[in-house]
Amino acid sequence: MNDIYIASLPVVLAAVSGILILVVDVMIKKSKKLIFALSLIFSLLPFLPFLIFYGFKSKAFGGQLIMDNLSYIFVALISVITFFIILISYSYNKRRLIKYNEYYVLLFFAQAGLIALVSSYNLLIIFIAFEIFSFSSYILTGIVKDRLSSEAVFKYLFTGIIASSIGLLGIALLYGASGTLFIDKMIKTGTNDIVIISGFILFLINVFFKFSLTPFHIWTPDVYEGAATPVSAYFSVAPKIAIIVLVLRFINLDIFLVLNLKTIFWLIAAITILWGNFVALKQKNLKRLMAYSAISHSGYIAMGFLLPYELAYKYLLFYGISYLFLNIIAFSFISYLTEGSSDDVEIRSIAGLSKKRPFESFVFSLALISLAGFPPTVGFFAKFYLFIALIESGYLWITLIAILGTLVSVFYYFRIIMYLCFKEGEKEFKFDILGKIVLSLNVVIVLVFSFYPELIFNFLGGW
Amino acid sequence: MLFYVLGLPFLFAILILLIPESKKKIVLPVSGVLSTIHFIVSLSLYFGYDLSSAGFQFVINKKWISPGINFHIGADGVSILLILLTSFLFPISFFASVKSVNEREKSFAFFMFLLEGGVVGVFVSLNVLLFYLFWEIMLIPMYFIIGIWGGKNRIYASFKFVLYTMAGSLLMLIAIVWYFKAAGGTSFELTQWLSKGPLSYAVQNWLFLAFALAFMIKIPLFPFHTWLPDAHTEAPTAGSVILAGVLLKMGIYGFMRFGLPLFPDAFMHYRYLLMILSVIGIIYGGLMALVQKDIKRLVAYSSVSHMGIIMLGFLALNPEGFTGSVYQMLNHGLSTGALFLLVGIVYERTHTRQISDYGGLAKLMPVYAAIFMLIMFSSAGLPGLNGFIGEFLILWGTFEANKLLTVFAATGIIIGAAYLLWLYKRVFNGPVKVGLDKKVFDLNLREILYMVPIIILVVWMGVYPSTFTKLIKIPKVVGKYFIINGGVGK
Repeated sequence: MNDIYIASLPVVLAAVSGILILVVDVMIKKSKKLIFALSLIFSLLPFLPFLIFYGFKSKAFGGQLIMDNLSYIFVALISVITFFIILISYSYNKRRLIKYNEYYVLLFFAQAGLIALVSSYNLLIIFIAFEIFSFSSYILTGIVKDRLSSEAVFKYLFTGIIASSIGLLGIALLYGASGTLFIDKMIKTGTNDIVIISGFILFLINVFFKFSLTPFHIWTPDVYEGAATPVSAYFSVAPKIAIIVLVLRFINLDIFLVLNLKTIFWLIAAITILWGNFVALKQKNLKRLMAYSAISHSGYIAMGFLLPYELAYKYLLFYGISYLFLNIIAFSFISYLTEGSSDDVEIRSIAGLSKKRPFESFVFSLALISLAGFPPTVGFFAKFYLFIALIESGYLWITLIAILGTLVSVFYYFRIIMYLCFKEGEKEFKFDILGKIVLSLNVVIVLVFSFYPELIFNFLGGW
Repeated sequence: MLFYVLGLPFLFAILILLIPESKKKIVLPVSGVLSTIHFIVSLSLYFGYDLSSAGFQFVINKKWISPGINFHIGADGVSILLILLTSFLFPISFFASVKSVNEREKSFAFFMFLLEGGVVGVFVSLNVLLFYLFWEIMLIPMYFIIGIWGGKNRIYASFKFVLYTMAGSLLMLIAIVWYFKAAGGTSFELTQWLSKGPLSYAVQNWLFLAFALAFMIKIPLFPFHTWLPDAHTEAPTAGSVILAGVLLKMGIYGFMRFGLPLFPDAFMHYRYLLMILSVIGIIYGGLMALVQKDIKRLVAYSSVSHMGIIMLGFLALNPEGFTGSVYQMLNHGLSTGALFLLVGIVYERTHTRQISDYGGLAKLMPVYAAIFMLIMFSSAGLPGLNGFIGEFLILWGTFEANKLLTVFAATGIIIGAAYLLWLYKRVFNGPVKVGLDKKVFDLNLREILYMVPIIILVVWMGVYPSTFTKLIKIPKVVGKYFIINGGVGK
């Protein structure tokens, strides 16, 4: 087969899935269940190129799209994410009266954007991919159509556009100074050119914005709170893992090594960890709290960008994968905490739920304990490996800051558990079979990873 | 064999979850029976242990996770005794909880078994990171046990417990990683670390402080003890029994297994400071116990005092002190555990723990009063009962190491007799408090049955200690730091 077809297959699969659903939606009336089933099947399709072509490197369009192992790992992960998000979306949308089937379409378009994002060295492709993802996510944020979500989409849209423009300016500067859009070939011209440096930093600001690193995180709590919970879940994992892969691509590039942005990463990671964890302490809304938790985890991951490629590859992807399943558990649980058509979830409202919903509460608590980094859960190993690698590479102080952050995070994660298990309350929330499936599948995965963390390394090391 | 002793609690934890919700009345009795089986299985360690060799036995060493985190377990005499103590106290705690825990029994049993597995794991780990994992595993179940089934102030107490312990253990984790890097960055095996010889003093100093903080919080040694009265008082009876009976011992075990052999120079440097802290703890704990109005809080402070004595015995670094220290760990587990059980029994009837609400209980509950007196004397160290042997050995050992501190420690023991006797006088003697006779009744069969094994052991250990002391041998790796018969050990 031709390289072009192989390389563009995952992106095309995602885009075509979206378009097909759109067509079916138009042609068949009252197609909720059909569309749901179709999306579920489509969400698993990207697994095929992963299974078949993993290990091959293929290029398309003059090297603008490169599918290598990194891309395929991401393709597999995004397929898992989309699968779970769609599973929890069905009943959530019913409860929140979201009747637009475009919801599923946009998930697939966002997926196409993210896959393109992680599979290119061309700054223009990266930019366009970012925008494809962003525009889908703006609409997804606003699809609920209530006050909170309108507020969220406004904040997200305006700040997002500013960030994108800054990123675009950075790309323009880089292009102007070097004459090429391929970031891996850029360094041949001026090494410490001020234009290159500022261009690259501006470009990174856009990345930091999407990755919600402090001080570019301002949109995160509002968007997580306002958006439909499955969408928040999607935002909290999919773009994060995409950006891990994106930065992993950069770590070995000449431009990254020559410009030496370690100080910036160091600072921004430290600030993010402290800010995310300390502000989370004060949150009363569960979704906002999870947003700050997501911010602090971005901080931990950003520490990993300081590591050399080999270590960063292993331990950051380990972190990303464990974080993915934990966050899906947490957000799936939260997505069922709806009352009527509102899901303004105060922490207080889950008081005493563990008595009525023991299994679900157990899974949720396990995820929180794991997010807090308690042994012997997979969350502990994720942090442990990262910290070991950092200390071995000589970054003691930031590791200490991260450990301080971890200690602080115990406060707010355990506060949720305290309400869930120790306090008394009357409210009851129903979990349907889909939710139970998502929680059970994920908890099995998390438990298996907790006792055999090597499995993730095997997955990363070779198929 | 050791694998089953370690694995059974985790297996039971899962088995318990399979009992259907409709039959939740049988959960705790069944758990009691299961953990009795575990006790019988762990007895095989005692009989299977080869006394002629002092090293680790029943060793299993399997590769688990890179880098160098092996599933490496083994037990020597000290570990076996502590495991036996653990598996002895758990069935009793289960049977004691049948009445008092009447909601979410399944979760309770689940967390208890998880706790038991974690504790056994701590006592058998020979891989430093494995040790850390087990050390942390038991934090979560204890948090839930205090938080769900505890008293009025349970949320505050459970939070304080988690934060104190977590702060200590995170520092320990950093120290472990640092040592790992200093020892070559390939393995977390204790034996490998030891074979490389001690680190330079400057590094040892910092790492030891990090380890010691975690252990001192757990024991708890004097300035780090403030979580203990809260946790003990608010925990349900079973939680207090396990906390006092087993969990506190992990700190001293940590010093024995890791603190001394890994950081000998730093340990020697801080030895006197630790001894002074222990003595302050003995006297301070005793004085605090004297003025408590709440029976459970009184017993909790007596724990602080007793743990100081045990630590002091170990710090003497001679065979008498060491033997006494390990022996006293068992005694303290039994007698303080039993005191918590007894307080729990009377609390179930009256729902008050204030000493001033009691009086003349001996007339209403004669059997209870008799058992209480026996346990009280055991705790105060009356000759003929178990406490005496341990305290005597410890004071003997300490006397050889430091005479002045021994005098203070002995004073603390006298205070111990004082607060216990005064407690007995106020609760059991005198006129019967108005209204008390309507609430209380003497022990029922179940309560007598689970107290009897403790009583037998208390007397046995006081009369014929060599059943147990024959297992207590100074581990080879720390032997060279001990002073044996006036000279530095082999």
